[in-house]
Amino acid sequence: MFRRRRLLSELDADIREHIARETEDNIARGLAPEEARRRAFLKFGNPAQIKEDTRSVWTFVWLEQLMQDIRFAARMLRKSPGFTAVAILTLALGIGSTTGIFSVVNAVLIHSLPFREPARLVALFQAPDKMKGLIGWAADGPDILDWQREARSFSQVAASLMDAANITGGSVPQHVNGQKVTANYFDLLGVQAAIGRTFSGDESSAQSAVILSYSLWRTSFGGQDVLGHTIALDGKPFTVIGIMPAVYHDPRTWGNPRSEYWILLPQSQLAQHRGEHMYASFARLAPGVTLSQAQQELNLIAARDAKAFPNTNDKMGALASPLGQVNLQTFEEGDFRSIEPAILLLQLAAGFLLLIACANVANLMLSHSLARYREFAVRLAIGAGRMRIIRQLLTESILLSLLSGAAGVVLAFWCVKVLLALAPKGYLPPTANIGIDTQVLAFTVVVAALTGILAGLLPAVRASRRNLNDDLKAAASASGHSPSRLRAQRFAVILELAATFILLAGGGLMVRSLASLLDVNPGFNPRNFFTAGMSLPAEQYAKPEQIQRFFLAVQQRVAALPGIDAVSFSSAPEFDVTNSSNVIIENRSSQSDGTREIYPQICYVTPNFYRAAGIPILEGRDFNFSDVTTDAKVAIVSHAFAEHFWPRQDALGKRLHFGGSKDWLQVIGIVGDVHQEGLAAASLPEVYFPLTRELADGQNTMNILARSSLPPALLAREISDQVSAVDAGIPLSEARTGSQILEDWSGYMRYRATLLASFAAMALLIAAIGLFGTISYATAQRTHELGLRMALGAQRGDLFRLIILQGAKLVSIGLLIGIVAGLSLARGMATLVYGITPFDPLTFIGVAILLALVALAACYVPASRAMKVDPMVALRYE
Amino acid sequence: MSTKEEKRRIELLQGTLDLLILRTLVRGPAHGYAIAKAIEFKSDEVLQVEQGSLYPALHRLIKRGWIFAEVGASENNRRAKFYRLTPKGRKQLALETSKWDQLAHAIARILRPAQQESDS
Repeated sequence: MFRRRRLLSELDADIREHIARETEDNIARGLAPEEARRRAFLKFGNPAQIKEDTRSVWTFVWLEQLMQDIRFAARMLRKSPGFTAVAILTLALGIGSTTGIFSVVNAVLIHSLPFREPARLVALFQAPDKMKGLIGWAADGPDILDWQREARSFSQVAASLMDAANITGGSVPQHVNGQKVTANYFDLLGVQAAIGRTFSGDESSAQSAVILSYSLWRTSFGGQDVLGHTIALDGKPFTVIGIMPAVYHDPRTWGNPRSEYWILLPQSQLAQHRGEHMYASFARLAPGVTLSQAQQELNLIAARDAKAFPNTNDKMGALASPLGQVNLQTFEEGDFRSIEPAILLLQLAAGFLLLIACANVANLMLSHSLARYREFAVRLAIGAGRMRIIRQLLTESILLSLLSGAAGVVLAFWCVKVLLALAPKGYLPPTANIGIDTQVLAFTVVVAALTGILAGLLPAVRASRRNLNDDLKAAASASGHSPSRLRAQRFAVILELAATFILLAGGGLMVRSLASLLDVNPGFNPRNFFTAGMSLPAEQYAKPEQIQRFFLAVQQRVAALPGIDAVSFSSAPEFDVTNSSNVIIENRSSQSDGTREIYPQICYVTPNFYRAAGIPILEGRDFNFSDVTTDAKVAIVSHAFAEHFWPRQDALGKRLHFGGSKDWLQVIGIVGDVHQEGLAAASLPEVYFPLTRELADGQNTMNILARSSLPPALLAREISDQVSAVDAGIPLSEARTGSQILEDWSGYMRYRATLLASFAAMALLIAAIGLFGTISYATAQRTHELGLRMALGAQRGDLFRLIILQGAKLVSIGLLIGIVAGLSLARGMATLVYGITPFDPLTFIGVAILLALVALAACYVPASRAMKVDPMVALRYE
Repeated sequence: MSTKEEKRRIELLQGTLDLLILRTLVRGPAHGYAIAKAIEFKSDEVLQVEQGSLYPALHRLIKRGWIFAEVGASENNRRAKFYRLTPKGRKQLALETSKWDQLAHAIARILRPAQQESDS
């Protein structure tokens, strides 16, 4: 379009020429040169307008004007850096945190099942008749075989068993967790190996084959080609046939640790040990079959099995739960709970924060555009179109929103990372695609843009009205300033304050719950406490004497080290519940208790356990080495156990019997309770047995407990050295300190508290800024009035009080609404709090006071400015 | 700052102005000022149009390809931009003129039916 450019560039000259000629003509007609020129201009018209009209013939008018608007908008934003910075920051906070939260939530709810058609997958459990909920017992091998054979509702049924082994053949021997899975496992899930292959459904090709996880392959084998190589698991040789993709993870049912390897679980093994309930089981619904149909069929099979095997299957039902829902359960405080309420809470909090941010920005824009009323009036007076002004203001708003959106995206990335990093281990279901969800981002940016537009629209429309004169006067005068605009601002601030209160209350409840939780005595002494696991390979340690000798030897060696106060071994890792059994009390059956089946926890320990763990011995004594070596028939019970089985009696001297030993055992000590299932759950009754030769049978995995003030890393190394001295091939695993254990036990609550408190803090900041801005503006508008008051005798203190009162009014209304709304929402948090009710008055009152103080602090500056008003200046202020 | 009515008037005028320019150029190329004078003269100053609105009209006609601009020398040997009809412009003029005639005829018949009869 060179022609266009040339013509337009010549336009100036053309016009000048034209006017020059007309001027000449006029002079020729006898007019004075000045007059001639003036008449010529009059006749021609407004050159600027003409030029613009001519230009607009050639261009897409709207595009050029848009570019102009954008450039102008950018300039305006740059001219008020304070406003721009605060607006962008506020909006970016809202957009970033909301996008981050919703991205994580989406990933957790939607993307955390990397399987084919995950909606058709179910987890199968066995459920003793009175059990409710989604998660049941582990399935029995023979029952799984029954399901495979008979259940027509499932196209496939697979099983898996938790396994662990010392792996050698890589860079260093490592103790890792893995799974034994049936040959159809990977087929059922619909996943494939990244390198090599998985089990094909045919057992013969899977014998002595192992599939490695991606992370194990990279860390232990350096990512080199290992297909076809042989590695040893607990001394037994296996051939590597495949590596799983990095994003793969097994379906999560009981919060199993991440698997690093998979080996075959043969059908023949499933057929054994009816009644032992060891396996996780999964099934894929056959096409066209509904969940309820499948459940009904399972019930029939269960009933049939109950009749056929009354010893093991009596009153044992079966349960099919959708994998998607099972995925959201975590084991918290003794029970499986869905993380959905917590997720919902976080989403709500994020939504509130966005609301507050948008209200704040709307407020800011209202104040900001007010200051430019003059500018609009002048522009209208010289001929700008009304639409033009509106369009320009909208462009500013949208530009602001887009800039905030960009900042928000950056914040969102960071937010997602933080959300995942802070989450306690195993709390969130493992997911592959953690990134920014573009849908969510688009939604939030649209919301923010809409807010910007709406907030900018109101003043824009009013600013472009024709009869501006009144508005001009009103804008500057004392009392007549646009009441509706101020009302809109006040409304926004009240909304912000109310929403902030709700967030603060939520955060406060979580923080207090956390404090209550941490107040609970865990039962052991976490200070200077260290624990680690060790696993003896079954081949070399087949005899109980070997096992007993190993652990006692290691214990004696470590006890001899300087800096060790006490050391012992226990079968329970981190006091976790792993073993339970039928316990028969002399002169009583443990199942005579009708309300709840008590399966006491069982723990095998070596001497000095209670000193090492820091568990108080309430009565009687600890095990000693002679108990262990002479196979003494003794036991120690926990306080809860004694209370349950011998209420109001002395448990010392009583006798009990359990499946692991053929003799009656005598109680020689009563010890304090440990919260095995978490700080908020009740302590389960527990009985401790000494690691005698009889009981050491099969106890290949034990955990060392050490009480020492040495730093954990040093301690780990020293213990490792001593273990190697006894047997070189035994690595330590899962080394943890007492404080780490406590963190794990309170992790979920700390997560919630941290997130909610962070949201609340951000909201408080934003709301304070909003309040500050509104009060400042309102005060500035009242300058004339304030001057008048002073002239009429008001003291400076009176003015100060006046402004503070104005702020206090807003704050009280906001608080009121917030309290009412908060109380009605609090009910939903009942499952999430600990140690307090969701209506906890201390929290509500405390938070209200905090908000009031912060809000009043925000009003302080404008109020003190009001005090410094010079009445002479104020009265003249127009 | 034009109101709605002024805008409508201008649009009507645009069409008329375009036609007048074409008509003026039929006799030969002319520069902008000359065209303005010619229109003023022809219409007996009935059409009160700002001279300046000539320029957007000229650019419009150039954009449509009905006239084109070239640089030449004017009467007193001044460099001036001359506008000239293109063949397309000539055709357009003929078309528009006939349309105007038809319109004027139709209006005349409505307004003065008696005279019509007496004419025919």
